Amino acid sequence: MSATTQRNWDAGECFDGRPTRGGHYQEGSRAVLSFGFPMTEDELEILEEFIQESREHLAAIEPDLLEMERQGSATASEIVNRVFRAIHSTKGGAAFLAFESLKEFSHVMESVLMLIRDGELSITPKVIDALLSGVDVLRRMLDDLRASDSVDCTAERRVLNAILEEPESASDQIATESQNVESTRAGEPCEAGAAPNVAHLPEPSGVSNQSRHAVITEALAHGQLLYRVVVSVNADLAALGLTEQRIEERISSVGRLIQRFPASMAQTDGDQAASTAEWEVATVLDRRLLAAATGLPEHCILPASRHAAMDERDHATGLGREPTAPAARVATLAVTPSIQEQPVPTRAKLAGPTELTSAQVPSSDPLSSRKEKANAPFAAKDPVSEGPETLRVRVELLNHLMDSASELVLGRNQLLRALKEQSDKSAGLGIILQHIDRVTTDLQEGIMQTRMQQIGQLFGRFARVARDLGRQLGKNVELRAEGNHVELDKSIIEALADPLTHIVRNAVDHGLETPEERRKKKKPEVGRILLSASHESGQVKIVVEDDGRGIDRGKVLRKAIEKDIITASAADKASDRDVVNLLMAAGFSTADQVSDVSGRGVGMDVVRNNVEALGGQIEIDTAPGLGTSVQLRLPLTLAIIPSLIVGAAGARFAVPQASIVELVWVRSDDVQERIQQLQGALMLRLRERLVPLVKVADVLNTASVDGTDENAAVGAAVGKDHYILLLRTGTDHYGLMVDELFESEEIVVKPLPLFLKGIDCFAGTTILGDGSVTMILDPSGIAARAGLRFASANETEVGSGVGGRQSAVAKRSVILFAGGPEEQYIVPQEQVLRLERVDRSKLQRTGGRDYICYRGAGLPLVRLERFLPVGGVPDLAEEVFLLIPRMVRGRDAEPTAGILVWRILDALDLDLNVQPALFQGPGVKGATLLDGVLTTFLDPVALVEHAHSSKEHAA
Amino acid sequence: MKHLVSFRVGRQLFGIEILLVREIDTCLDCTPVQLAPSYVVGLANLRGQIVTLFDLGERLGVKRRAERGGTHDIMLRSTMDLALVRSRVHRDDLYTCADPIGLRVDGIGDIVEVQDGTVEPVPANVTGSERQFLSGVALMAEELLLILDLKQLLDAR
Repeated sequence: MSATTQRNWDAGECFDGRPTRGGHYQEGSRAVLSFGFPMTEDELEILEEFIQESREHLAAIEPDLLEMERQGSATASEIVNRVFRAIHSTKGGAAFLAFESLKEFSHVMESVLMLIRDGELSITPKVIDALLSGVDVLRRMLDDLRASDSVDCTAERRVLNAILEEPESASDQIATESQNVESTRAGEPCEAGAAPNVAHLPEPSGVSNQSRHAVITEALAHGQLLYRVVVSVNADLAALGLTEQRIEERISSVGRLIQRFPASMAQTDGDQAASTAEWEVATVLDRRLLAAATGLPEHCILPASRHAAMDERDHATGLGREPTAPAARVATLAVTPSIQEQPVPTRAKLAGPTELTSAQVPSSDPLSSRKEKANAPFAAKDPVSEGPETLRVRVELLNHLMDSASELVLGRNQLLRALKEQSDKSAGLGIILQHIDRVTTDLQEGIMQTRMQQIGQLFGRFARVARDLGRQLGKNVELRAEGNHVELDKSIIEALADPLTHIVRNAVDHGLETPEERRKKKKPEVGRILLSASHESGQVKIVVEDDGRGIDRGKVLRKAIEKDIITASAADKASDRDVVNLLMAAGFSTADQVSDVSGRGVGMDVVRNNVEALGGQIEIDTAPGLGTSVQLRLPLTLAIIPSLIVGAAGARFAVPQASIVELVWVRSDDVQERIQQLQGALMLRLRERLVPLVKVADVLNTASVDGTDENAAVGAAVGKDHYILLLRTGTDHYGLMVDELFESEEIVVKPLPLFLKGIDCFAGTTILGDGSVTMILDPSGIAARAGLRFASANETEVGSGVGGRQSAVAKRSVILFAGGPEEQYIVPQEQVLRLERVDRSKLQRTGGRDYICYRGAGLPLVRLERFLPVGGVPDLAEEVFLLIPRMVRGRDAEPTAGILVWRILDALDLDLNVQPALFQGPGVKGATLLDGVLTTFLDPVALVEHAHSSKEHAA
Repeated sequence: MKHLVSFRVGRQLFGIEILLVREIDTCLDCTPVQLAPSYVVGLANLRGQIVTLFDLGERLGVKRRAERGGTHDIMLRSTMDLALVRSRVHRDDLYTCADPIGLRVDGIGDIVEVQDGTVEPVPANVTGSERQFLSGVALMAEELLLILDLKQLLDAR
């Protein structure tokens, strides 16, 4: 249920006639449940509803309080009123249900709000602090209502009382602010807020139109709600065994009777069945409670808008009723259609409404000028002024419905299949099947819709998070949310709470500068954070943007080096993108963060994992000095995802389409060339990249991890076609080898059964169209299980993530190659951009330099023997290899030179035990013994750099 | 008085309180799951619900019969199903887990009535691996009926 639930009952909102926040006026209204009068078993339910509702109120006013703090004395009165009303109806409910502490505490808060509203108290952070902690107290009380009297709130109360006793009653503020405030209750003392609960049944009098306005205005000023109680005498009253008088007494005991239309007045038509009695009531109770209190079914209680009520009065007393019935009337008619038959003006003329009022208040209604403007749209909307009716439903039940719906879909599929032949023969059957088909799809989609929730309710809580953390850190933070109405599956919204909290906290903590810093940089002192949600190509995009200092490249790199995530030399060359990716690398988040304020304990890597587990992606953009923006892209719903069904290891599996980058079909002829084996690990050459390959059978079958099976796996790689799914995990890619590709299917994701939890290769299970159960593969789980170790902060374009089954973190992935018949070398894998097989004929020599035709351009060639005291590639070798070092870390890495290599021997994970080299030279880091062969450890980047500089020098 | 569904795993007679049983099916088609615990036969689609099927013999450490003639799957009530039963019979000693679980057994026997006083604790000489999964023993006319303790049996750890 959204926090806006109560809105449509709010008279204030109604008279405003337009959305005040988030732009969604026609939000869901209350659950409609009727209660008999002597509440017995329903009491509990009322209590539950009250708790729920009050919680929603509290959630809703938090952003309003923050907004008040932001706007200070310029706060629009409607915001203050909204907060006031929320607290007030909490108080009303508490009083009605006899929860003393709750009632009293909300009364104190209400009094403070009243001072603010009347301009007797200016809005300061201190006041807002007190109110916010008051909200926390109320929340605590609501957590356990029965024990609410024992909740300790003395401290909070003291603060609030102190404010009450010494409001900074700057008179000028009163003067200005009272213009924003309805001035009608000027004569009333502050404790008036306590009054509405008390019944006044004012004396009837022939009061003027204005005084009726005044009564309503005053009621609204007290945060009361307006209702019309419409009772069909014959149907409702007879059924309930109540009399009009009894109802009136009950109404009077819980609210203020504004006007009554006794049933007798309407009976002149002789239409007995249609005779209805009506009361216009102002009360603090919400509709349900009013229904409970009067013992009437809820359909008899209609919310009335201030305008409608006043209009009616205008018409009734003045001009006579016009054919275009005012809004509230329409609503009434909708519920009790029989009234329609009555010529309404008759009633007005016959008896005239019995006017009841108590206050003699000036007629100046500052809002009446807005009336006309608001009236037009309002009249149009009003038939649904209750908003679409909503009902609270247990999620459990929805899940159950969803299961049933997917079962129905399966049944439908089976039915269609089974009757396919018959439908051709017997006319008419096809149409029926089509119909069932369509309805089933509708039904399933409809049920899916029920799980959608607005993201606004999630966004709502971050204003407080940002404010509190900001204060703690001495920063001024303003958090704005946009796109609150965007809907996402409930489970996604829930799962987003933690990652988003972390991102927002990061923005406040690391992103935004202190006020002094911001002043120095000539930025506004208040740091801004913008949360926004929008739809983008079938996904939901959520952006958290701050205008802070941006990500400090140096700091991130230093930390990454410290944590051994990146080497110092690589750090120098890291692109901005790499730096950002480092933030999300596993192990980057520091321990001191974990011990920090609660709610931490996650690093950005966890955030990334969480987002990816939802089938989403995360990106970070940063501009030094200007700010950082974190973008999340998420599917609308988790429940149904498009996926590809594949066959592997003798079974079928579903692979989420979202994680498939591309499908690669390697023909049997090309297997030798494109799929290579390096130390038992398979790799795919894909557009000059090397992509580690994983066989489903290897990962799922624990037996195949030992060496013997690997050989079999490699053997199988040759001689037949291969299907490879290029999967995405984080920023890394790898290929998953499967045996067969079946169709794409929209699958209903079901969670992994309890006893299979912890098998990280599976993301869940599903039932396919043919009724069989299938496991859904989890790309990152498979990568983890296969022991793929991607080079840190590696970029998608670079296939340096050569897989190796290795466990020890201390090991390094290296590529072993022979420079010639005599020498062999190892180079760190992360320094290799590509390995290319080239034809010797492509080597060229121009102007004393070696080049190779590479991708249609000349690439400078580095021959080892030119720079090192070693032999080179034998002249006879037809086929040679090109090792292209990765000069710059990151996506924008472009080949700048290639090192000529005789043969690529292997890719290994080694515990490097480097000894001094036997010879010196550019890029020579040392030597090590590999299987008894002395192997030179080469830094290809340094070598190529040296080669470049020496050429320039020569030139 | 309790009613138990009796069944055999290997030659041994076992029983589960009938309130915990949702239905009994003949051997369902199921999808084996790689990397699953050895006692999980696989996942079956029971009218749209995914049921985890246990090989009860494997779970208890009791040898199953080789011939598969009478193989049945006993579907247990999930927590949600049980909640409905609970409110009717006012029993809070019934335990099950949130997931739908099926137990594959070698043969289904009769529904057995057991008087409250006649259930004995597990005798000390029952020392097999199944012991930890038993809540008691009922003496039948000719043999012992071992009553399963679902709390242990359905403990995912």
